Amino acid sequence: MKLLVFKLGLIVVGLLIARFYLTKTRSAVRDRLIVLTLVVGLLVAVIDPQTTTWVANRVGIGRGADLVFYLGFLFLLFLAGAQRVRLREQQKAIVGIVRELALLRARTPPE
Amino acid sequence: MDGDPTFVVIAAFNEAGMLGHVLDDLERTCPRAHIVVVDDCSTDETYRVAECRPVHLLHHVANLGQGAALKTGIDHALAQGAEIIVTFDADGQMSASDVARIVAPVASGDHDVALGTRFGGVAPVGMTRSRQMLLRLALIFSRVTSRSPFTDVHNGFRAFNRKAAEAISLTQDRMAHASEITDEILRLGLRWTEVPVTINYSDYSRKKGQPVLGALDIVSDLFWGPKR
Repeated sequence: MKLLVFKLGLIVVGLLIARFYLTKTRSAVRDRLIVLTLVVGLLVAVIDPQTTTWVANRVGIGRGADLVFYLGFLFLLFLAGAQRVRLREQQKAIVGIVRELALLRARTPPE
Repeated sequence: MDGDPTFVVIAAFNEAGMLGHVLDDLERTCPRAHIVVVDDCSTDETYRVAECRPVHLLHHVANLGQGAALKTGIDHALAQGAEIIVTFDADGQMSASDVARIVAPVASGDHDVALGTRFGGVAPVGMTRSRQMLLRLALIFSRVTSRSPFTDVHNGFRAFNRKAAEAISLTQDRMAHASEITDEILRLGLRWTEVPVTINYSDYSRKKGQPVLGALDIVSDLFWGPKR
């Protein structure tokens, strides 16, 4: 019974996340597909845990949980890298704005 | 220093304690030079100190680093019609009386860039042994990575003519801009020379200046780009 409640919770959270990403954010189609794939993967893994084990065995990993862990870890690394790139671009833009503002507001001495 | 409009660009970050003396000294020694102060979002009275003096004053609304501040100041000087641009430190390490000497080789038209050097015969006043060794190491590092012929890459005292100031592109916002400048000089084939300058290591500048361990940040910036 407890297990079932936990499973249901995971399913609801997964669906909420999917809904949030697909309706509340204006992300690119590619990002939406990634989120959709992840949520579908989560639902499958929650509803029938044997599937992950089956896939894991196909690629030479013993347990499904291990496969999920590896993939999750890789995904987090990817996210960290993507954020870093985004941050750097943003920083560049800020530098440009700050410098431009300084030049525009420059105070020159009276001749 | 008569003739071509000369602009002295000073990047200042929390230099309220020294900037006043530096500006007064410059005004007295080089009355014809235009002084550009870029306040790199200081949290102290730096802006106010510069505000009550006859200088060009620019303010970064966010702290960007010395490289970016110099770039802003140089851009402003160019827009104001500068023919010669000198970069000068705000912490009182440099002597205003050296400005004329560093400008001379550029003003004469013989060189595009003149770089101040601490190792040109004039003994630095009060330089600690650790700093001497660090600067030698930095020198070896630049020699190895870019086969640099310069003797004092991390000396912020420089003079550029308009052509050089326009051509040199700075992408390093923080401290690694120093070796970027010398790399650019070589890449662009600018005519450069070195001028011995006196650097005064006061207690103030030793406290304010780059810590010896800052060298690690500079190297990492150069290899992996500025950390963000």
